[in-house]
Amino acid sequence: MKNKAVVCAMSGGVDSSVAAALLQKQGYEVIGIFMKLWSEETSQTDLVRENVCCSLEAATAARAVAAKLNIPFYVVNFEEEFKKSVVDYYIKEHENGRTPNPCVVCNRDIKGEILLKKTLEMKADYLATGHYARIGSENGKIQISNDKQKSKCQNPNVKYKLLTAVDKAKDQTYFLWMLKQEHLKHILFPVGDYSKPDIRKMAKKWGLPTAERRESQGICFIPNRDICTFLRRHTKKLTKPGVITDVEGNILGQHSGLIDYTIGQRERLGLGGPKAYFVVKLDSQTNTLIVGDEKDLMQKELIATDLNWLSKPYSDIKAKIRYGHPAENCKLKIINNNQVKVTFKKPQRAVTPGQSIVFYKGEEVLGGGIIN
Amino acid sequence: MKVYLDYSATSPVKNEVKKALLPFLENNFGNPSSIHSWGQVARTAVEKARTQVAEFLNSKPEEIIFTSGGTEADNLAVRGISNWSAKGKFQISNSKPHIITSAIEHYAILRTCEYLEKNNLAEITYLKPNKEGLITKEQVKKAVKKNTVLASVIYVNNEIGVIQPIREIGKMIEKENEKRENKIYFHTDAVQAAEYLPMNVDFLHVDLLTISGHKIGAPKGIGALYFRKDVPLRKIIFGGEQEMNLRAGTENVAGIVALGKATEVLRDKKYEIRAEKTLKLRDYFIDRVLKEISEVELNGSRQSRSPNNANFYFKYVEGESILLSLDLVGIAASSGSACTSLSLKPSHVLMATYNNAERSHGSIRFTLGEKTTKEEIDYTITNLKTIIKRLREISPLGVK
Repeated sequence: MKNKAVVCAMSGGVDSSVAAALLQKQGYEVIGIFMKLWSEETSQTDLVRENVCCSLEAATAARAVAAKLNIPFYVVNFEEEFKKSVVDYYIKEHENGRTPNPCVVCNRDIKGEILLKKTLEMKADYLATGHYARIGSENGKIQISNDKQKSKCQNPNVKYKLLTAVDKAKDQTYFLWMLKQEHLKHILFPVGDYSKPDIRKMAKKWGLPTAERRESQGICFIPNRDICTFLRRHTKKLTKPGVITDVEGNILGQHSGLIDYTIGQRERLGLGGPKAYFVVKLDSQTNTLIVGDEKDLMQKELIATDLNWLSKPYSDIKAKIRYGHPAENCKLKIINNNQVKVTFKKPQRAVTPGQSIVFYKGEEVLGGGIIN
Repeated sequence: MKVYLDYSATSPVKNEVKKALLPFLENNFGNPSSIHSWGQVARTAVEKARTQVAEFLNSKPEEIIFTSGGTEADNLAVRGISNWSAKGKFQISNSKPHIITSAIEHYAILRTCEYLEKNNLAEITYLKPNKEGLITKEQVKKAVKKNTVLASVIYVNNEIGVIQPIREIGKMIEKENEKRENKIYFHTDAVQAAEYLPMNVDFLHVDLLTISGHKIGAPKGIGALYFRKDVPLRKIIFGGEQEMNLRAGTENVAGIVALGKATEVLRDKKYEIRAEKTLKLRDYFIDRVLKEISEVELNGSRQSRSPNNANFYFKYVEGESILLSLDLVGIAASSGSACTSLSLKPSHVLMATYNNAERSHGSIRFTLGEKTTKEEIDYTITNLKTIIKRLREISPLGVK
């Protein structure tokens, strides 16, 4: 039988490079694809700012890996779709005084939909990415990609489970909760079975030219991690200065426009004095920035909407309200199909509307939603 | 099986051309501007090549400037003339020189015109093609203004292969010029035409004409601009006094020799004879695709069409997906859009002709060459049928 074919999304980073190499060693026929997602012309400089993650330099790095592995390599352009699905969503959420998570939408709409469609159009069986996550099947057995290949073709009705990566510090399941069974069926996460140091080691051992490439950080379409400048380039909403008050409503100072702030923020408030203030609420109705003590940031309950379930919701589970936060014990009360009330055992710091909440049972991702 | 059907992108170097150029990479490496014997050998070779190109175009050697390729030749034609005219009477009369071109030019012309326009250096009229992809002489005539100095129309469109009525336009402009105070110069980008169409500049009634080496069996990085003796061309690259002081920079001797040889090879046979075999294969290809695949249309005129070009619109599929699938079975073609160059724009040629974004994204260009065989066309059709069928069966997952 002909080997199964995998399209590997290659960003020019070390993780997706090793993912491609691992798949090749596992006997797959690998096709590399680089996605060009974003570039921005700014009026002031007349200069095209390329997305740091999908610049020509990154494409060249990915191409070099493909050449080293001797696999076909293509650049596809999804700029239009990326802008519509991801960037516009990101800006719109900020315009509503929320702090969105564009990566979760990108993983569903760009990778899960458009890139997967392209994958199937190219007659490949799977789409692989360099995410730190794993996919298992219903009987709970954690599979490596090889076994999965078998089980996937033998049983089309099998239910898949999204599982946290072996390297808990690198785990990226927080960004993948929007995926559906139909996606998981065709997706492979080859690096999820390894630790980051292992991945670097493999990259070096196999002489991959991206072994030493620095890691991307922050939101890929925002240059220099400067969110405020980016947003002000794209919207006028919430850019009017207003007052800063404490939780009682006493005026403490002036803010530069609500769009510049996020819940839990401590820096750049310009309030002076020895007391530490934190942003606790953006009130876009009155254009007021409300600050308070750290204790004002703490809350036990929240409502999540836009739910997606990969497995049945259980009552006693853990949930993560931010990437990098630990998962905390909580209880769920289903309000309706699209809303759930989450009650944490312990108060959580800086529950931020627009961010994702992801539900875990052990190492399995049950689903998630958007914090309201 | 490997099938190359992208000859309009580039072509392999012909054997006799390779043989001619190799000595100039080895022993005859001299600089044509040097006084010594090495220089003299190189100079002789460059001037021989100039004569070869001139003969191919039925012009004089002193009317040929070698450039780094078609793009530079196009730039030189457009900017060279506008530089001259901007300094002339238009500066005094306070109006800008006017250039007529088409919306389906190669980017080398289009972007240059846009640059001039954006920087207030010229006024540009972009003519829209009809549904066949054709520009008519009447359109050009209607666009003529008092301050028109240049008209530039592509001979064979690089995407849809449509042959423009260059000779008719040229004759019309000549007639116009008889009653005008200032002359309109006529340029054509003939990069895609050289292999299969008449290239006699007198027959075509053109004042300037661009050719490129790598489309006709010479290497990449060499091209030439023909300019009739009375064309007031101004240089756009400054430096030494090479190429009659119109194009600075040490000559690409091996490339020039190759271009000379490539044109000589073409000249050995009449163009109708050169085109015969390719034309037959192309018609076989187009006929079978239109017959055996449903919901497909040919882009551009069938009659006024380059003998090596077949450009199809496959409905309900993306051109990019067809291309990648074809490549995976060893077939090289290309799409209108320049996806691989990291920019996403629907083909400006298809957009100008059909004003249909879907059509621009769902179209594929196949361009045949000297070495194309019937077996290769058959293999391509077989695979194309399978691929189109498969792609049409895959609808968006839509699980959102």
